[in-house]
Amino acid sequence: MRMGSLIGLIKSGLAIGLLCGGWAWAQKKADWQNPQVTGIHKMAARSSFFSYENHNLALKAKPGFSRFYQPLNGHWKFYWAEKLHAREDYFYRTTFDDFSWDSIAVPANWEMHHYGIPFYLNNRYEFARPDTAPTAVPVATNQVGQYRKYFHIPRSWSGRSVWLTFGSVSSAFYLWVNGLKVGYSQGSKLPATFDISEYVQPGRNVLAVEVYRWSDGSLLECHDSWRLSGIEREVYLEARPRVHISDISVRAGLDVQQQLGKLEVEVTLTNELSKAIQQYWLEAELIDPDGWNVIDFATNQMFRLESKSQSAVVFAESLPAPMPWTAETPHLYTLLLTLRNEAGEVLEVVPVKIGFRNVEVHNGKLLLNGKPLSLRGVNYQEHDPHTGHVLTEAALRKDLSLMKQHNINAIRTKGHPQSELFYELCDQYGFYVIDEANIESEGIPFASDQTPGQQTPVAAGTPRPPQTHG
Amino acid sequence: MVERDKNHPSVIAWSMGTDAGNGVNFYRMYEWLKGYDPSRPVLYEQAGLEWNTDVVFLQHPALEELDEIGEKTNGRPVVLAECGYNWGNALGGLDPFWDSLMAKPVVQGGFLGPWKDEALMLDVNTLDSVLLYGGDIGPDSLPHDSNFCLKGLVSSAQVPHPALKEVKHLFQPVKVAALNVKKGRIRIENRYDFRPLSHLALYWQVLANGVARQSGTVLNLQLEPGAADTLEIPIAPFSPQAGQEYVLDLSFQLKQEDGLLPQGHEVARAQFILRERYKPEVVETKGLPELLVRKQKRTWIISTDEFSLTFDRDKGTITSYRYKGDELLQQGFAPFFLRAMTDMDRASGYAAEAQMWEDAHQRMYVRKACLEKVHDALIRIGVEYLVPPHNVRCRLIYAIFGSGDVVLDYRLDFEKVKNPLPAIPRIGMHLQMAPDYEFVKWYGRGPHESYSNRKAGAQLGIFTQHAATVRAPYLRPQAFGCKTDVRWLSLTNNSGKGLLISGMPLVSFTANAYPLESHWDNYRHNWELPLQDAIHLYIDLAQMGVGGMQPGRPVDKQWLLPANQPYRYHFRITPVDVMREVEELSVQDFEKDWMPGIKMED
Repeated sequence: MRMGSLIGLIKSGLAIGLLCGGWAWAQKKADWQNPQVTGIHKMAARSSFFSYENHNLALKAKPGFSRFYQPLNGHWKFYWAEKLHAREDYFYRTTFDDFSWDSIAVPANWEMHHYGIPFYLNNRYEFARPDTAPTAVPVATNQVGQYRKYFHIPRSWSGRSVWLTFGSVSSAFYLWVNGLKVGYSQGSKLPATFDISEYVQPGRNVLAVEVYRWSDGSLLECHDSWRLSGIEREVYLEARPRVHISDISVRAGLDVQQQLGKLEVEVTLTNELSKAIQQYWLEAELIDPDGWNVIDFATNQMFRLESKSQSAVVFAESLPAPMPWTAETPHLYTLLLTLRNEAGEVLEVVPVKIGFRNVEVHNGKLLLNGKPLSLRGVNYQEHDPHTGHVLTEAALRKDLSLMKQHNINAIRTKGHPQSELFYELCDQYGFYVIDEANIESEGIPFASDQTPGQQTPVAAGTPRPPQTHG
Repeated sequence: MVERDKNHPSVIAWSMGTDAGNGVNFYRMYEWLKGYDPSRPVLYEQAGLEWNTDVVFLQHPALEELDEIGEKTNGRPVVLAECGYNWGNALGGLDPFWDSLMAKPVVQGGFLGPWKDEALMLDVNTLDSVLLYGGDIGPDSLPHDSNFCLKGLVSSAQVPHPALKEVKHLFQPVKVAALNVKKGRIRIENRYDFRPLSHLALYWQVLANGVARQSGTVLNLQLEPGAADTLEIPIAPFSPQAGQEYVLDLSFQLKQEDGLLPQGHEVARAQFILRERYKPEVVETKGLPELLVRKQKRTWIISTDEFSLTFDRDKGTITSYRYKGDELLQQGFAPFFLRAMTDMDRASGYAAEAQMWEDAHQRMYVRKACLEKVHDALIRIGVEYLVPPHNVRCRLIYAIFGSGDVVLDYRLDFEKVKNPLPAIPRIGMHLQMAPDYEFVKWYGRGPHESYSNRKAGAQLGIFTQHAATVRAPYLRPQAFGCKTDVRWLSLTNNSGKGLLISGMPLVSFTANAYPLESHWDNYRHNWELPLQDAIHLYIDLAQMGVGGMQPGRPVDKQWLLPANQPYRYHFRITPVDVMREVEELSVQDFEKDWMPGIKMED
């Protein structure tokens, strides 16, 4: 190991400290400087879906129509700290007086509102300076945005789990509810959901968020784009039943030769109650693109769950001669999952859009439904000249419309994943998507002794795979 | 990501990231992904030819690198993760590049550079919200990558760039080839992977000089995906008329609304020349009105009752061209050698190399000018320019006819040049007209801009534009707005008076109210370019091609204009006063008695 050399230290796995911007040996690292930490009390990643209180609303599939969904977008109180130590202490307290604070739109990149300077860089870190290590994430000169937002929990939400989701925050943040610290999250382009049931009360509540412009996560987010910060996608609350569907995994394969759709669904159920439950029902039905019910899964599953535990229920069924999904013919089926309690009451209904298709590399060809694909694609990143990385639904729809008009059939989510809505629209209108993880680090050379790809798992690597699938 | 997106049918593959090197973490990530989701391929661009990618996912490969790629992939297909940046005015050579790629059986397509320009609209200093790029915001000491964020197919405001029209044409799912086009026999190929063509209707037209003369519909296209077949278009036989060029135009449109696309949306388009321009009407020039020539100290004035042309012997240009009382020209035809450098020109080093052409038009001087009477209705004026310091020579002959028509013969040669010179950006002429002559109409490729190596998606037709309201599409000032393969163009005012310019046979042109296309580098943004109270019109033989699919690579030799061979072209200028006349006048031709043979007095 070459003592005097930064590169040698990375190689040896003592990189942690140096990746975190030149901290001395003895000090405890903050979460946002620690590559081992990408979330605290963040709920496990799961497939994106919304839950509805009845069949009708589930078919409409507009979360805003549900009584148990509350968007928090709007204007929040905001304070910008130009340096780390300029942060307001105790801003998260319920008694904190934010009257004199500015107001900022959420979602929004704060640099678009003149808090700090937006940088455009291709493949260098915006915080790299000639006299610092290339992986020195700013500490004292880090910039922080502090937010406060009052919100109302209706009485009808009592007895339910309350979840708070941030669609995307750049680059790392802490969350408090009613003065108590709830958790932490890092990783700018995926949602972070926190269970805040224990922290909220019916009536008025206050949440506080502290967002760091730079964190160790920034080392893996060196995108060819403007470097911007803040809350970039939707923020919303959901109230879920204490026994609920917590994840759904669908495989909708297509056996081309036999003209058979093969549906396998694994539903993870969670019981948050302090008692076990028996004789709950999970029903499933599959509805075709024309609205006809084509499968009523014969195996309506009855299950029991211990308190505070999870279990998986699996269904499988074949569908003869399904309408296959392709970008040219984006036929979508709807899977409806209904959860009932022992009295037969509907607790929630969850719709999932499904497309029967088969993708494989076989005999040297990339095949979809047995045929070689022609990819006529573009690379896509979120951008709006007025709002930076914050893209409205209308702007996203216009982008996809223009692509269709110009005979484009494929999109690569270059550099990082897109919003949940993006994939829904690609399913619906037909695009082949190469879904790319939020990993881009050209600010560090690719040489095998320096690249994060080669770091020993203890150093830069491990948090990222869970992040990728998280 | 995988957990969140796993149920989406549109997600056909996972990609582990980009530009992050390869190594043990990506090996482990690949293995985890394959185990967790066996239903999808896993790709990684940085894996190159290593094992941890199911498809070889390459970024900006040079075509030469792909020659033997089929033997190196270990049975895996190749997809281009990224190819082609539309950085400024670019994507030149798109069609041959993509076709060469797809000709390799191992390649199954690719992803073009970013979809959208990334300029930010912010108010800065004393300016209200304006579009900005890297380096515009904050102190100069901050790191930035300038306008490299502007390499999209659409602008930041989601306005398609001209190159996107070329992409649409390249990607169109119906390919048409001519078998025996005069008999209407064509070959159509269905390039969908899954759909037959039954959702499309074919609208065909026979155009004569851009105007439809016959049309029809084919409603029952039956062709399986990947298949090709012959189609007979029922063109009625016709006798060609004087000066008319006949084109078969084919438009494949949606019969019904289809997802995001409305009914009638054109999915594919193709054109074929049915008959080249038929013999024009020849004008008997001796029968035209007699020309009066007045020679003054510095000028020659050639006139009839209807028009008067003043030629300045020192400048070598027309300083006045009046027709029926209206002044048509502010400043006359002068050779022009420059087109505003593009981002690709700058990146490849060409802009620096070709500096001498930037001011060539200003250094140029008239070595001699002389006048000759050929007959009562034909005067010829010859001008010889030299461009120091290399003695590039440009010789013009203006043949002025009693009708007011002027045929211009342009010759450029390098016989007196001793050292090799950089390729020329543009071979053309520049003129300036008063701002009221802003109604542009042309028969040529359009409606969007086209260049020699980026024009397949611009079809022949009659198009119109308001030159005064044309706006530069690229945020950093650079060449734009060229229209190629133009048979004729006219600039008129709102009473229909103006000029018709007829290619002999073709010209390319640009018309706008921006400043002369020289030293545009002095402006960082297109909104800084001061709009003029004049229309600048450039009539070219040719411009060099635009930059290609990768920054840093120079324009391919075949699209360059080397400065070591002679160039020549002609075009005719005709004064017009009612719109109708343009189409009639364009089918006329003049006897070839204007050809050179002029004596140049010393």
